[in-house]
Amino acid sequence: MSELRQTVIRMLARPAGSIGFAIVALTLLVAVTAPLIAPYDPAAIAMAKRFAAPSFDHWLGTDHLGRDNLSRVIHGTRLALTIAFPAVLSAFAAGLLLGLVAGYVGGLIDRVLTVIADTFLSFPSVILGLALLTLVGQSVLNTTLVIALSLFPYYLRLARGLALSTRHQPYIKAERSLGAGRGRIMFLHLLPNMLPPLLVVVAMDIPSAIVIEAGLAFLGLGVPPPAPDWGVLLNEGFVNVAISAWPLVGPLMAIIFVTTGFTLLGETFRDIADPRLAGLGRRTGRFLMRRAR
Amino acid sequence: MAGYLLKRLGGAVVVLFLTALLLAAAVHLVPGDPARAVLGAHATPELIAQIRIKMGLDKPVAMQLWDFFSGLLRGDLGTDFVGGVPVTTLIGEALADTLALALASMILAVAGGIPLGIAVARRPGGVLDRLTHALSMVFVSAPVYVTSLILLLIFAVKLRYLPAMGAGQFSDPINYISRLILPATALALFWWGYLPRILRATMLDVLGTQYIRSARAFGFRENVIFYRYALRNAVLPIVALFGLMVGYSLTGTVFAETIFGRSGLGTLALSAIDQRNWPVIRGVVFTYALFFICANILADLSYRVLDPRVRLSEEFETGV
Repeated sequence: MSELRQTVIRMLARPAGSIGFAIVALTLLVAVTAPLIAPYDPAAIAMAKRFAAPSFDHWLGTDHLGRDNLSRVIHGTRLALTIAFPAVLSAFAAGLLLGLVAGYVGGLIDRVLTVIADTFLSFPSVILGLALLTLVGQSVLNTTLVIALSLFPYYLRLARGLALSTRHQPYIKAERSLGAGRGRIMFLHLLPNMLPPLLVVVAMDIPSAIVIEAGLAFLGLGVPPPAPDWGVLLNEGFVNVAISAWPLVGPLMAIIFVTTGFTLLGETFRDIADPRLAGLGRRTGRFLMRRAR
Repeated sequence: MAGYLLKRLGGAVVVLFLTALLLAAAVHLVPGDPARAVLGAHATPELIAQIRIKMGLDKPVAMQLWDFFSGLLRGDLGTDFVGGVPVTTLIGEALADTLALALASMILAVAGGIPLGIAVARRPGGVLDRLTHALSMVFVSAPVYVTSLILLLIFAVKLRYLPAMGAGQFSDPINYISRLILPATALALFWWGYLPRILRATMLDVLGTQYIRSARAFGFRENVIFYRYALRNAVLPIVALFGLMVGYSLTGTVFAETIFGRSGLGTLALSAIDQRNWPVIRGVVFTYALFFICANILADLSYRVLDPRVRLSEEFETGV
């Protein structure tokens, strides 16, 4: 536990780390307390004051239905995180288990799993999402599943690589020579050692998930409208951009703010927390990069 | 190397086959009636019956897969529901504008990112270094639709400097290029954040090596050492990013095309989704996957050709 504390202290000592931490903490706070801090009901329509410019009543103005832009962005934070976290975590769980098995067991299972992962990797996330959501229909749950589906192969490949490189470590060999079975080695020895470096990757993927989610909604295929999703807000703002640019300002700033915050935090964490990841980062850099939206 | 190439291409063919299989079978993989999945919840029974026959959904599944694959080998992706045009024709028409945008964005990315990286690496810790470091975090994090919308707001809506909408015609090159500037910049911003950081890191790595020390000991001028000896080696990893760039640009074009009202693969896919025109959607998705797979092979190969260390150390990781 003291190691964790030390890491946190070292992270906060860096400007990038402390700024990132502050932004992420603020984002979580806003998401949790959204109904308390939002000045208005995000769904309250007031046709009399459509497209209002910012004022003391409406800090970011109002949208095409007279709804308060700020309140919608605040509620959107909650929506973004309630999709991003489950999506990334379920993708992580599936990818970790499959990758562990692929890397440690090897052979035919490894080949099959790798080919499946590569097949999913050959679709850009957003394109895969578009095709699948057309067929299964738009909803919060389907969006979450589609994002998870487009992220899991990265974890599978990462976990596989880690399992491959740790299976020949002396402590694993020792365990095997003591007669431990595959299951015991995989889940009691390999898994705990793979978790810390991979958890960093997961933390850095939260913004990727947010970006894919808002992107799909922006294209009209993710979370369906009236929901105050950031992508929906961008779409509605884009359609009405000739009348007023104010509905766009909030979601644009929110996405930049949140993704930058997570990136700062993740990169600082990677730099100092886990030297193992420095090498991992270089080798798997292209996997991480390829995810780029 | 030849063996690796063969293995890699073989793997790509397998993946491409599975990709096609997944797309061909997609309508059957989702729960419920495939014709209804294609047409959505509000389709009339007549339309569903019509589509069922048009798509051959009344035939056995194996037969449908066979039809799709034999068509694919003949370069036939089916015909669209609405206009009856071959999907390959639609894709062919849209592809040029998409590739022009992707190419323009890559040129901008390199033309802006590399000089910036060199300038930063010349004076690490300087004002420019710190400024780009802070900005690069934002550029790297901001998705294409955010940068596109911001550029649209600033240059097309507020300042009215550049034409915002449409792709224009090839026959009017100046107009065509001016319409590329904003969307290509939106796509290049990511690389203006990313390339300088990579170049700075590799440059500082290289400048710390023994052969640079030796060059200094021989009394070469700092400029010669920097540009002739160090830069060459530091740029290598960036050349290897080319495949990634292709992939990123192609995905990004979907958003840039929508926001700047350009014709292209992305807008073709989206209008097909609006019309629930499944053969077109399937064809476009397959085209993207095809480009993506090629780009990834290119990325892997360039890595290996350019950096022997990768060839030696990564052997175990490549998998298929």
